[in-house]
Amino acid sequence: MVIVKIFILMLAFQSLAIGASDIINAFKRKDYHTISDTFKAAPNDTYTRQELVLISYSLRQMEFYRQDIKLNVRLINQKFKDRHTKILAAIRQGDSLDGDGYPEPLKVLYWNLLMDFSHIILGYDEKSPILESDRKFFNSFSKILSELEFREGKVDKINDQVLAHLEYLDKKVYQWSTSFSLSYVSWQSEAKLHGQGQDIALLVTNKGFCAGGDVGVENYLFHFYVDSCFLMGSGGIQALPNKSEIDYQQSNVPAYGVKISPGASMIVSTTKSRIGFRIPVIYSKQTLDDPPASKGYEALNEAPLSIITSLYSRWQFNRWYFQTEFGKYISKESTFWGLGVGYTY
Amino acid sequence: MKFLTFFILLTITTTASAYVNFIGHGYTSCLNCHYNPAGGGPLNDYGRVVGATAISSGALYPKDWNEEKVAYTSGFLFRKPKQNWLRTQINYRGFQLVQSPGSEANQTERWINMQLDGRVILKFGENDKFVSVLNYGYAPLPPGPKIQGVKNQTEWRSREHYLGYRFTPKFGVYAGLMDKVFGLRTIEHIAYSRSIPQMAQNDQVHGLKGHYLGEKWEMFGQYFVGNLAQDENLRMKGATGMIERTIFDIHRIGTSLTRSENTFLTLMSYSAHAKFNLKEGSALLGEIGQTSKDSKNGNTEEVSRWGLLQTYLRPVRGLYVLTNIEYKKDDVNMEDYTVRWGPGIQYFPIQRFEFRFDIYNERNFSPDSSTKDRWSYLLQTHIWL
Repeated sequence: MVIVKIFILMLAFQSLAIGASDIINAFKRKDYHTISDTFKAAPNDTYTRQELVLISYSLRQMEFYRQDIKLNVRLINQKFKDRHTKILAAIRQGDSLDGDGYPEPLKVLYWNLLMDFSHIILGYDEKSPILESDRKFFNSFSKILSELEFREGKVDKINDQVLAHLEYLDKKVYQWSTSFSLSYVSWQSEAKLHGQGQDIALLVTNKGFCAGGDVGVENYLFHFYVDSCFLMGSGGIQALPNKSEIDYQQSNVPAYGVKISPGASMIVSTTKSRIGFRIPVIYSKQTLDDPPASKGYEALNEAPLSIITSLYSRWQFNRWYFQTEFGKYISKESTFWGLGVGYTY
Repeated sequence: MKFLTFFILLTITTTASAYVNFIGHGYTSCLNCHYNPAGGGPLNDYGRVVGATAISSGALYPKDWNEEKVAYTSGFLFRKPKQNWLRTQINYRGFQLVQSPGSEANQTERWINMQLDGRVILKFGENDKFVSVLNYGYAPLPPGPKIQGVKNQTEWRSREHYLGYRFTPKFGVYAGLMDKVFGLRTIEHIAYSRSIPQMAQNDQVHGLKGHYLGEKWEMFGQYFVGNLAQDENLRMKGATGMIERTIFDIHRIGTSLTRSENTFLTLMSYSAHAKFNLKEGSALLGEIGQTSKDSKNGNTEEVSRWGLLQTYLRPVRGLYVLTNIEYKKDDVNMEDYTVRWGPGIQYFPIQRFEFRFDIYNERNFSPDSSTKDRWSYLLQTHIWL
């Protein structure tokens, strides 16, 4: 019976030796895939310390960070459970730790865990409950390594990277945004004197105010929104030179309308200054007086509905902002200007 | 002469124009980057490095070049100057001006060589305590007949020459031919805020200028006797002053006052301006002012008012998107006024090159008329070797 047991034990040692040899040889060939597959197939097998180091390294190379975390935690529990418990208790009580009193391999295991969690966190492209859990573990190992004064410069650098990434994830989330604005505007529109036989083109130059606001979504880089405002102003109207046979001119003719502008902006500074494009649709109405009946013409407001492409800029001062808009009517020479202030809610 | 030319070419260093909008990079005072504390003219060594790094795009450099390497190449022949007392620079600016684009009847196009300057700077002492600047070059004469009373009307002339001495880092005195200090020194010499108070690119005067730069305050006072190249009765003699204060650590507000006169005219202007730093290169500049022109012969007084609003946004390093909004009222007693509005793009693809595209859309507002807008655009090239 004893002989049988010894035989079985020898067989077991032989098989372990073959496995170990496979891992070391695979590592020499940089065949991390085989190593990680071997470990995943038999995670509870007995491995030498050197093999475990190689497996851990291979798992990280293969970006199997969660498996590496399990392996490192297992190693801490197996080899350094008491010391780990003591470290946690000291940190909880706010006691200082003497890094020299703890073995280097334990610190390396903590380092591996920190690196694994940092890689996992940096791999997230949006916030989630699992991320919050990983973040807590990352913070714990960062705290432990700082207390143990191990690779402090590198730990700080990784901390900064993770914090920057978490901030980026926060900032990239689109949030609703609304604002109110009031702008001084000027816009031109076309009208005509409609007569028997021919029409005479009129040019209308308006100025006034546009009061309204925008609703949309924005993150740290982009702002998509719809802006709308009510136009109130007045303008001068005149027949275009060289094209009229009658003298027609009016001043301060009231104008009313609506401007609705879907738009998109790129946010270009930390103060949230932004630049973008809008496609405003303007509906404006003006009542033109007819020339004397003897002239035989009727004044008509042409195309009250117009589409514009405009360049929009905004400079933010905390919640207040200053904005400009410069647009050109599609298929017309006329332009639209806007210059105003707004308040973001 | 050949030796002098060769010598100058050997020691040429980089030059660029630093603009008021660079307050968006945190530069509140022109003295950071210029020998002239009021800005304009040659850049100092630090200004050249800023031009090469923070201002110009880094996209065209080799990938392994860091900022230090780029800064190192901001000098002539991509090297740091070997001595501290002499700098030479060459600066060219030209543009294609298209007026009434798209109009078959009215469109005009022309290329204008606006500026070709050779600059020699001698500087000595700690922090360039003593400077001597000579800026000689080409500038086109105004179109049309020659200006009455101006001697030696030539396209090649000294644009500025002056000596400067800083008694302390806070206080300096400058004497010679220089630009007048007044308001926002924008690059657009056609801006109403520059042309109406006669502060454009060819309005330099001989005079004496004092400059104070404190923690919060910056002040200029300048007494001038006109441009000595002009006949004496045409020289505008007078004084100008400007005060600026830094607010909220990064923004600036200021005010300017100038009065000058010759045999025929008394000119008085005052203005208030503000420069806001919106971070990462974005900035907002504004100025409002008024000029009264009192004609001594006819006893007529004309008071004009103007406004300027320039907005800058920097989507990526090297690229600035701007809007230029100008207001002009030729006579404050009349209701008519003009607004010139236009977007533009300013691009520094690599140090020593600047390209700029501006659109100008000018509209008259009058109770008595409604006229078609005037359009023009300008493609500008600026090279400093």
